[in-house]
Amino acid sequence: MNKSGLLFRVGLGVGGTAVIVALLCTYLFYGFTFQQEIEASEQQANSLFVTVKESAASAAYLGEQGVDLARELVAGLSNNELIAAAAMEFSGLTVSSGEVGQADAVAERFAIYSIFQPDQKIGELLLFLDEAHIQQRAESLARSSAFAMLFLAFLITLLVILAAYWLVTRPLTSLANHLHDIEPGTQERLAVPDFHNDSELGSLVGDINDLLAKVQLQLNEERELRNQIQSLERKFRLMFQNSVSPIVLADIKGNVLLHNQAFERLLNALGLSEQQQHGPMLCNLFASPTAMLNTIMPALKSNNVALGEFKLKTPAEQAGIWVQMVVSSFKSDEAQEYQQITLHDISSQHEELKALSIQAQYDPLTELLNRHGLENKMDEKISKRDVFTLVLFDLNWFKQVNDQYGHAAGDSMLKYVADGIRNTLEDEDIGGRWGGDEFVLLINDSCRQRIEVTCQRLLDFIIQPYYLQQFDTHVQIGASMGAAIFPNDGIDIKHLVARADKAMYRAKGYKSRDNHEDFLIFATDALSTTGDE
Amino acid sequence: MKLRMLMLLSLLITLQTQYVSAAESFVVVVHKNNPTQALNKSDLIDIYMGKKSAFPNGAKASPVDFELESEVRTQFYQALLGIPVARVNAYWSRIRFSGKVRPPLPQPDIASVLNYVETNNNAIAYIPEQNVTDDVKVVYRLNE
Repeated sequence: MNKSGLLFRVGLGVGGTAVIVALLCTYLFYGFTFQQEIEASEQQANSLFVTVKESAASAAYLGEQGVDLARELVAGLSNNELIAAAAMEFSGLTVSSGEVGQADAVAERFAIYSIFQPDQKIGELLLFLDEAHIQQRAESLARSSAFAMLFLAFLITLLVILAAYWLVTRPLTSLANHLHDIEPGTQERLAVPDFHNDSELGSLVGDINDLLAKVQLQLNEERELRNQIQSLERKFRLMFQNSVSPIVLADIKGNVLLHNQAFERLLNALGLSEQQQHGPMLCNLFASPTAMLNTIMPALKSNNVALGEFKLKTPAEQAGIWVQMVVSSFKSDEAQEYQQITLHDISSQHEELKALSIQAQYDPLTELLNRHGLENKMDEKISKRDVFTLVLFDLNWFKQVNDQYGHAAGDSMLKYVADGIRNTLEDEDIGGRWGGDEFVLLINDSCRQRIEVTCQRLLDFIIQPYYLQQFDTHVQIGASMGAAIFPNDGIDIKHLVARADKAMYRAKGYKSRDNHEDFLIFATDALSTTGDE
Repeated sequence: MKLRMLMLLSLLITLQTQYVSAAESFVVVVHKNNPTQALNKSDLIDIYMGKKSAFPNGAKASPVDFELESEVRTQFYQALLGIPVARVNAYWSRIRFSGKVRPPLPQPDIASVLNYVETNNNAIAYIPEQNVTDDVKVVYRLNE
């Protein structure tokens, strides 16, 4: 039997209480009975005396002659189980029987008066009560009462346990077992035990069933929600993992937190191992990290989104990989800043460009259109009568860099500027290398403001300090630009170039490393100024 | 309860006997030659109840009684002791077995009682007052 079980506790409580009460009652009853027995014995002694009064009086009256009678009398009295000893005192004589003078004997004294002269006291009868016997009788009575009460206690305990078992424990155990078997979220409910419709147990069952219903409802809702989330998650994962373009989630230090399979494939193609760090913005993957960083970072700061086209650093024997890079930065719920970087492979387009450059349209160093290519484009536009602006610019202090650090450094500077042109121009605009350190932009607009903005952006890019890894130093160059608008400033290439060239040389007069507003001169302005001269 | 019943019973008996008692006067007589001139009540009772077997002067006393059922006897004991004669009878039947004490010698009638007293120096007897003769000596008068 379970020692903490209800039945055991009820049994122990009721049984223990009953036994304690029974013992207490027995103890009190014993004291009471003993007292009563003593009183009864005294009364019995009194009765005995009344019975023998005449004989005692006769014997006492006769004095010495009555001794025999007295002896007979006390002997008879002491035979009584109640009397331990009896004695008679008369005429200076003492006649006794039994063990007179026992320590625990209570003496009852009765005066004997003469039969014939009732006012004369002629002796005394002493009856010694047998206290041991009285005690024994009281004890026996108390014992039987104790047995009766203990039996009653046992019976009550048994009945209470039975009642508790039938009314509480059994239905409770059955409920508990049933509840244990019920799977939360199912239709299953507890049944109200028989005869417990209005009892506490019944209301408990009702409450439990309500709770089960609520749990079921909530579980169902949660399951539904989880399914939705799971399906959404599956879709996202599919989208992310199966994306053809490599996608990376990184923190601002450049630690890759998440990447897809396409990124792994890209790393394989680049001959790189899978690792967490590829530098800020994955810059270690790029052929020209500085150009990439100088393009992306400023845009990201002002816009939260930046994009550009860059060449990746491929092993020497492999074809170059070009990617369009899209970076967006966002903050998580914990205010942590993250960057999502997507690289779209645009190598095939560059392959085309390369093929074209073989046809002498392109400058192999910068992979921009060369003078020939640019003239072709201009011819196309002029024949279609498309309005466009020709911006001619050459680099300032480029010659010094070339002289000081060599042609390789100069070439890398030219590539850097080409990257700037590619990333500054709109899709419909065209950039190219005119020759030497001269570049041309063909902007598909005649709006001054738009041209100024584009050129300013390009200048901003160019004048950033450029890191020469080989020499571990930064160099800074500038640019001067001249713009001529077709058809306003000329209707053929020769004229347009001449006008732009003139304007550019005017701007050269202001040449400055600073972001000077006169780095760009429009042909119209140059003409009027020239006219003034 | 038992005790109370007994007490009540004895009270009733006492009342009854007192009612009967006032009927007659008795005298106690001895032989003319008996030196005893008078007896007190206590001595008389002791002699008749067997406690004493001698007169106060030391001479042996032989008490005479009437037959058990005699009316005279009944009245005498009632008058002398104030208790019913049945108790006296019970007393005698109780102590008879001890063997040491004998009850007074019974005589059938007054004449034989008188005759016994006249012929016995140690005799002592009681008779109704009106039956007294000059041949006996009165030593006690029971007037009530």
